[in-house]
Parts: sequence; C-alpha cells; structure tokens
Amino acid sequence: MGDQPTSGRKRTPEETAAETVVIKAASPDETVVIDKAAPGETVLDDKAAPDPTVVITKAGSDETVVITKAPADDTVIIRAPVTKRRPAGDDTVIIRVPGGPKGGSKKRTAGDDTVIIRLPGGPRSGSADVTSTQALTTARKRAAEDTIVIRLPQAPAKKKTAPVEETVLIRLPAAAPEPEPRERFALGWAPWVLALSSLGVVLVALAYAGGRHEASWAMAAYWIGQVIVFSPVVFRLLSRLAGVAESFVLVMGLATNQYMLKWMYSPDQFRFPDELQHWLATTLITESGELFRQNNALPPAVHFPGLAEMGAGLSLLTGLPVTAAGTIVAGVAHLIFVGWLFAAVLRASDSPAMAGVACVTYATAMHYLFFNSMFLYATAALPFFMLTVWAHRRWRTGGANRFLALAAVGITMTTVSHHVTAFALVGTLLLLSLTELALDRPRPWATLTVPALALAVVCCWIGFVAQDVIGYLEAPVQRLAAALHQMFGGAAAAAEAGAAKPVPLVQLAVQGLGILGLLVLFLAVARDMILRRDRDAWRWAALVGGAVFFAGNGARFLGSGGPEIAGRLSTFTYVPMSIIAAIAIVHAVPVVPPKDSHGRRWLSPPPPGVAVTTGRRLAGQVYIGTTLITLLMVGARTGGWPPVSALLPGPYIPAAYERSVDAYGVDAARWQDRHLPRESRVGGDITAVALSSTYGRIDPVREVGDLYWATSWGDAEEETARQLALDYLVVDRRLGELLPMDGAYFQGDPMAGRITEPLSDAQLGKFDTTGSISRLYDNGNVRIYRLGAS
Amino acid sequence: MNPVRAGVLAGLTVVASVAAGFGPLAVAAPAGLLLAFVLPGYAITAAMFRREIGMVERSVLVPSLSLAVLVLGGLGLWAAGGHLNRAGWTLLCAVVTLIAIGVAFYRHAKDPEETGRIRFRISQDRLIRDVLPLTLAVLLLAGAGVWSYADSVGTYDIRVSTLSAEPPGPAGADGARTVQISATGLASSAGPWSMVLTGDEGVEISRQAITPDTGGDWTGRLTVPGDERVTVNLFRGGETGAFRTLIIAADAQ
Repeated sequence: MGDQPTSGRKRTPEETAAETVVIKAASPDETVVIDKAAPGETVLDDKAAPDPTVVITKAGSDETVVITKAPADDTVIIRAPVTKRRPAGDDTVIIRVPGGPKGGSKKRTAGDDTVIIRLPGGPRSGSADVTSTQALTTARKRAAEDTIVIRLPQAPAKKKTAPVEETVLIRLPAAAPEPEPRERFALGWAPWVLALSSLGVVLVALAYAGGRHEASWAMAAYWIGQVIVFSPVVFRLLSRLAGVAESFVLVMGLATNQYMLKWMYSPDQFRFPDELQHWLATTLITESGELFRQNNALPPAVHFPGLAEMGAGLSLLTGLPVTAAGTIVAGVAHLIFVGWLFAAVLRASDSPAMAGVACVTYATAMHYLFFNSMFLYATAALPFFMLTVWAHRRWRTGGANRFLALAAVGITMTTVSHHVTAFALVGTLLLLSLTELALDRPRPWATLTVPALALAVVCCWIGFVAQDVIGYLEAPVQRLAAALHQMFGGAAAAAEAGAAKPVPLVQLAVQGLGILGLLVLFLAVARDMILRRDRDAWRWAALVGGAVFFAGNGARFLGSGGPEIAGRLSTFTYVPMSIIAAIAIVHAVPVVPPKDSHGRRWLSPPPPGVAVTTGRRLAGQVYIGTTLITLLMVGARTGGWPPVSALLPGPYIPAAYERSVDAYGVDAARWQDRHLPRESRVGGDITAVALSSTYGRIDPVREVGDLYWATSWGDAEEETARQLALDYLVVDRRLGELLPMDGAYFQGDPMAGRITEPLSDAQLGKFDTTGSISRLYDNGNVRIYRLGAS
Repeated sequence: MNPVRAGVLAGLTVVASVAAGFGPLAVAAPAGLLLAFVLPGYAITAAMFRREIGMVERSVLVPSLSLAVLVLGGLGLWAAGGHLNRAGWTLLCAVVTLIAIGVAFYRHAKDPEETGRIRFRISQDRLIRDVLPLTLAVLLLAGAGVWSYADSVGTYDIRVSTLSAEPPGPAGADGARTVQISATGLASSAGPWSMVLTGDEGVEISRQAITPDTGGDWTGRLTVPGDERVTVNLFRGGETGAFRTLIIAADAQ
C-alpha cells in the first residue's frame, strides 16, 4: 500500500529517450535503470542538455560506481570504500553526492535535486539492450513497484560555502537479506524516547492532582505533559530512521503511555456512566455465572457480551475486583487494537515508517484517548475489527485459508462485542472488496467471501439474539434524520434548537486547522493517485474511507448530538484517513507540485516511484509533520472527551459525567442497592440516574426534568410521575448551587441550553413540603424521595 | 512445536490453572493473567502458524486469540449449559491450551521443519542502551500511577454521614408504624448525637440520644404515628440546625 507505483501510462519515445539513465552494477545481472523525471531534475544536470542520459557503472571488484552523463564532461565518479567490503547479499548502495562546485559535479540549481532510480524488477536480463527504449518500457512495466525517487537537499545558494556531502541510502527491497537477529530487534532510540515520553505522563499525573486540588498551574502542566508524551514519539517515527522493532515499540509505548493518561484521570473507580454500565454487566456474570442477564442500565449490552465476558473471565481467573479486571481488559484491548493497526499497515506497505506514522496519526482521533480505551463494548470489538481487516489482507495477498479462519474469528468476536463496530466492519470489508473488484482483472469474485460472511454473521446475531438493538439504534438514527432535515431547511425542534451550545473560537480554530491540514494531505494523495493511474485497490479503499471521514466531519453540525456522532464515526473513518496521511507524509507527496515542461502544475504527472527525502528537506518535513500531528492531537483533546471544561479531574460539577461522581452520589446509589427492590423505578439528574442504575441496580427513569423544574408539586407533576411509573427521585441539592457543565441537568432536559441559573430552593425544596412524598435518605448533599404515600 | 517446548508449555498451563483455581490472590493474579492473555493464544498461534507471520503479528495475535477463547469459549460453555464461574473459565482456558499444544506438537512431529527460532543475546551494551531507559520509563509510569491512585483515593474517598429509613410498611392496628432508621459515618468526636421526631404541626414526638458504634454506625427502630407526617432530625453536638433529616409521609390508608 505504501509504495506508490508507477503509472502504466506509456510515454512518448521522446520523453523516454530524454530521461534514460543506466546504472551498471558488478555483474550484468545487476544492471539498474535510472529514469530521470524531467530535464533539469537530475543531480548532475543543469544544462538541460539535449541528451541528459546518465550512466552509473559499478566497476567490478573495486566497488567503484561511475555516474556518467553525456556530454562527457558531466561524469562523476563515486568511489565506495574499498576497505569495508559489503557482506554477501548486502545490496545497500551508498551514493555520496558531492555538493558544490568542488565536488566535480556541476552546481545544482533550485529544484535540481531529484534522482530517480528504477530498480530492476522481473527478470534481470542485464543485457546491453536494457538501455534501449523498448527494454525500458518493458522494464518500467514490470518493475513498477521498484522505483525510488530520491530528493536531495538543495545546494548552498552561495558558491563559496563549503561543499556539503550528502549521503543517500538505497536499499533494494527485493533481494534484501535477512538481517541478523540482533539488528532485526534493535530498538534504536525507542527506549530513550519512551523514557522521555514517560516524563510527560508524570507531568500529566501532576496536572491531574493539581486539578483535584484546584491548582492554577494544573492546566499548563497538562498541556505540556500531553505534548511531551506525544511529540517525541512522532518526531522519531517521522524521521524514518526507525526499523520495524523500534517503530513497533514506539507505537505500543505511546499507546501505553496514553492509556495511562486515561486511567490516571480516575484511577480508583470507573466514573464515566457507560463504563459503569459495563461494570454492572460484568459483575452480573461474575455473580451469577450466566450470560444475557438483564441489565437495566444498558439493556442492549446484554446481547453483546464480549467485553463483559473478558472482564468477568479475568476477574474470576485472577481474583481481582471487576474494576481492576476491567481496567486491565480495556488497556490490553486498546493496545491490541493499536498493534493490529500497525501490523495491517506494515503488511500492506512494507514500511515501518508508514505503519508508525499511521498509528500516531490515528492517536489523534477524537475519541482515541478516552472513548476507545474505556471499559466499553466498542473497546473490546475494535481490536477484532482490525484483526479481521489484517486477516482479510493476508488472505487476499496469497495467505492460506488459515487467515480466512482468523477473519471468521475476528468477525464473530466483533459481532458479539459491539453492534456499531460490527456494522462498520461489514462496511469496511465491503469497501475493500469492491475496490478490489473494480480495479483487478480478472475480477476476483472470491474477495466477496469475507464481507458476505461478515454480513451473514451480523444478520444472524441481530436476527436471532439481539433483536432489541434495532429499537436501541432507532432513536439516534431518527435524531440524525431530524438534524439532516433541519440542515436542509426544515424547522428545528424546540428543545434541539435550544440545546446548541457555542463552541469556543480557539477550539474551533485548532480543530479546523488540523482538519484543514488533513484535507490538504488527502487532496495531495488523491491527485497523486489519479495522475499516476494508481491501481492499488487497498490504497483506493483508504482514499474512499478518507473521503467518508471528511463527510462524517460534516455531522458535527447536525444539532447538539452532531459532535458525538462525528466523533464516533471517526473511530472507523479515521483509520483510512490516518493511512492516507501517512502515505502523504512518509512519501513526501508534493502538496504543491512543480510545473512540468508543458507549464502544467496540477495536471503534471508526478515523478514515477517513491520519493525518499533526505537532508534538510527531510528535517523540514519532520518538523512540519510533527507540528501538524501535534496540532491534531491538541485538537482531539479539545474536541474529544472529556470536554475542555473537565479536562482535569476536580470537584463536583452537575451533569459532568466523571466530574459528577463522588462519594455522596455513590453512597446514595449503594443505599438503593441495599434497600430498594430491583424493580423500583428511580429518576434523577444525569449523574444520579447513571449511579442508581449501576451501583444501585434499579430501573432508571431518565426524562424527569419537568418534575424538577416545577416550582411546586401539583396535579401535573403527580400525573407525570404516574405515567412514568416513578417510585423514587434522587435529588442532589448541589443542582441548586452550580450550573450544569453541558447545558442540561437531565437527559431530555426541557431547559437544555437555556439554563442561566441553578435550580431554585423552591424547585428543589418542594419535595419536602409535599405531603405524599417521603425523604428516606439524606447524606447532606444527596436525598432520596419516595413518591406516593407510604 | 518441539517436544521440549510443548512439555514446558503444557506444564505451565497446568500449574497456572491450579494456581488460578485454588491459589491466593498473589499467585492467582499472575496465573490468571497468563491464562487470560497468553497461554491459549500462544498455543493456538503455534498450532496454526510457523513462519507465515512476523514477530509483530505474532505478538498481537497471541492476546487476541486468548481473548477470543474467553469470549467464544464462554459463549460455547454457557450454550452447553455450563456455569461461567472460576472453575469453568479455568478449565476452558486450560483445555483449549492443551489441545492446541497437542495440535502444534503433532504438526511438528509430522513435519519437523525448522521454524527458524531466533536466539537473543543480551549484551552489556544493549543493557545500557535498551534496558536502562525502558526500566526508567516503567518506573516513571509506575510511580505516576501509584501516586495518582493514592491522590484520587485521598481526594474522593471521604467519609459520608447518612441518615436513612427503610421504606415503612402500613400502620398496625394501633395506628402506629415501626420504621427502621440507620445512621452511618457518625464521628464520635463530633457528638453527642441526638434524634428528634416531630409531627405535622412541628410538635416534638420524641427525642433520644444516639450512640454510634466504633464504626460510626447506628441503627434503631422507631415507632411513629401512622396518620401523621413525621420528620426525623439528627442533631450533631450543640448545633441547632438539623445535621440530617428524614421525612416519613403519613400512611395512605
């Protein structure tokens, strides 16, 4: 995937004749043909000579490589060290290109910094005829994947500057020997980079502690820590000097460090409502030893027991509490997901740099840090989503049927773990297969096997086991449809219109800049692929997926739930987008291409092969790339979860999810567990309902805002309570002191987005003055009322 | 899988199973982690692949397949009427691992192809270059984690003082109801504690001193009139305002 193949486009004889370079290596079998993209782009050519042919000859045993360019005075001799002989099979060629006039070559002008080397593919004829036009055409077609473009750094502007020696390493991919084990597993700078990254973790831990104690410096420490955790790893990976082992260790180390950031936010207990729901599902299995037990907190999760089984299994096998087991399971699943992403991109691109950059780019996904590593059922499904994609790739590229079996395991695991991820998997597999069908000849119909299998498994599971998920997903789909209707001219629902909360301009600017950067990379790769007439099905699939990512970002503007939908969608669409970004960055796809000989810029055919950047140009790309990806990370932290106002843990805030869970709320919920019947229906604010339905294990009633906003308890409230079959209400007196974080105290809050003052004493105190209501629990902050006379 | 490795792996599986099934937490935890994340996946990977996958793929496949055993095996066990308790999970992981070891061993015996095993040699240079910084990273992470945990517990795990009542039942023949009242988290040093019951008109019905136990808890049964709305106030020390308050509505009947 990573290698940008040469277009199969036939060039005119004139073009071909003007661009031919030949390298003759030690034996005729090692003859290498160099294509020069266009006059004026060869290292040794600045004259636009009519015949810019260059010949590089490796002169037998003395390891000398001769580059000859006609006319004769353009010859450069590059002498390899004779004292250090290359071991047999080591086909790395080192070309030292002298810079400046002293080097014997001519000065290089602006833009005169590219050498294109076409490595021999297919049969290595090595005959003298290889220089003929016909042979070149044939060679080009056969060796499309073996072309490398090397961009050399610009020569100094002034001649009196000392000449600069630039070294270019060319590794011939086909015949690369197996490296020594110690080299293969060399970790390079990864340990030190990770040690530095861990310092960032310490800094964020300090920031979290500062947040808990409301220290003013905490936010600054948080951002500095985030950058230290992230950017050194990105910098090292972008340098393209890391091998497979180093890249893998860097990527997994970064994922570990970032998981630590998530865990340290709330290390002693799950606080996010969805995590608590899955904590309950897991606890039910450990207590009963049975699957599919009713879970009032999240009924659809009952029929997707993957995560709960993992947590329960680990808890029972180790004897650890469910919270600890869940934390470990979520962390391991998160690491496996990142590992599969790395493995899939590595297998497809054969480039550790590409795999590493794709992974760190994905680490800037909106929900990567929290949602996708929380103890949620999507976290359990995501690694198997990627496993299936990897297995499909292996199977389609000649792997045995064992990979098909692995894909089947991945599909089944994804399906029994999470509904939306299962749907996304079917879509992804279908996309991969359809692009393959569209581009390959003869059409490989067998590629449809895996998506068909996935579709069948998902349909069977939902049809026979998890029918209730259809109703569960109906509501968000309807909200999405309503938002789309509103966007295209329809009237907005009153509550929805009021719920929209303006996003701070700085936050929008950071996110916008990041997405704009991605769009630029996306368009550059798209242009490159189109003009190359790229036929790689997986690259096209990634491009289509990237386009879906941008379309999905449009969902941000679909009402109050838009950002959440966009974020959740990006969990899947950001995978191909990350790959596209990695292609653009690692292969240095030009964002603004140079003009060709016909004066065309945007329609000029890109140079064949893969661009390999060195020297100052590479350094510049590393800095720019690191900045861009760090900017994306900052944008994800500000636009993802937790929201900006709760980036740090701290004191209680109403309806602020993790920030709302404290000892008072938990104690009230545990009292419900001990004293109320399981079938009791309990209403409350967002936090109270989340805690009551999980720690309290009762039946939650969420849309109770009207009962709280009323200033007195009359017939209307009595009727509402009767219709909702409410038994109890949880009232936190702090709702009368603080405004909600997200503009609403309750789910379906009738005052959402319009709350300017906390609830009044009359609104919260009416329960104490109503004769038919009992207060059965009081801990100073949280009170529990029983509705109806005793 | 050669006989030596198969034997070691099988032995390790048995030992881990026994430890997870019967051992104390300190032994069961690492054994359970091995059974949940490593052993089944390692054995299945060895049974399925020899040289077809690289180290990266192998290192990710092992925990993936182990988790798949937990989930799909658990579903199968439950569908077969089994119980998903500690013994069930332990047997499931152990049996799958041993079967996979058997398959891997059989494949090796049938076709003893050299699998190209790589031997690592840790040099002094590598110790300094790799192990030292990685150890530093692990220590930093561990330190940050432990400290963060302690800080979170210290911040949030505060003592909550509560006053609560069981949902009262109907009034008896004498028109009175018995209500079980509980108080928790009462610090003796903040006392003395007293409980005052008042009726509809604010008239005091009863007053009693509360003596929490060493854990700060108190439980008692109070008799209240069934036809009145009763307020139960808990007072702390010499404070005039109620520290905690309950309200028992009148019996509807």
